[in-house]
Amino acid sequence: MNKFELIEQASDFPDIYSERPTHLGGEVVFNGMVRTPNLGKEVLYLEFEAYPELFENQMHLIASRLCKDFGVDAIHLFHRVGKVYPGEIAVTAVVRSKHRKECFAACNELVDELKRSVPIWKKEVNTDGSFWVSATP
Amino acid sequence: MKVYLFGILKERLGDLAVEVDVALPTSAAALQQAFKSQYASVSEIPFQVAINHFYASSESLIQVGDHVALLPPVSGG
Repeated sequence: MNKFELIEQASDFPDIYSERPTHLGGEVVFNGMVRTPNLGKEVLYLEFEAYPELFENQMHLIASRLCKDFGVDAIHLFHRVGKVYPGEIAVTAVVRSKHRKECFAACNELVDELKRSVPIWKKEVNTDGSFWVSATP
Repeated sequence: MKVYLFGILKERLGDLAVEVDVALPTSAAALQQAFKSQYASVSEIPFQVAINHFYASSESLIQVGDHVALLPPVSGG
């Protein structure tokens, strides 16, 4: 079963290991974290904004395509909104399937697609000011 | 018609939504042109159009009562 959520607080991330289906032997988890420095400047935090209704619709379309194209069984994506500080997780992507190879490939494509078409925007706030980050697949 | 804004468009125009003077029905491409001419201060920012919470193509028609949003380049992750 696919699942997509926008997460307001770090403590709201779901326990992705609590509902493992027994018939799927492969699971790939990608955590994207806020890093500093970036472009030579110390990052104070990233601020994420999302369009929730389009996020939900777009994630359903992406997950359907990935399950069909890669033969995987479950796609989960959890993304923070609001301020996220260096070292904190901004996004967790999970792909489950019967086998390993398609899990890795689908998870890589899931994160690429997140950066291409999922309606989330981030502003980087650093020691010199702030700027909106453009898409960089 | 009212269009909702996100990211840099929202910040630069200082509001969640703005009015665009355009006759309905119209296409997403025509709305893009009208917005760029009426909000010249942000005309350099590329954006896509969403209609009723789905991405629109340039030919997609916008009808009276549709929820329309303007989306600058995304940057999740």
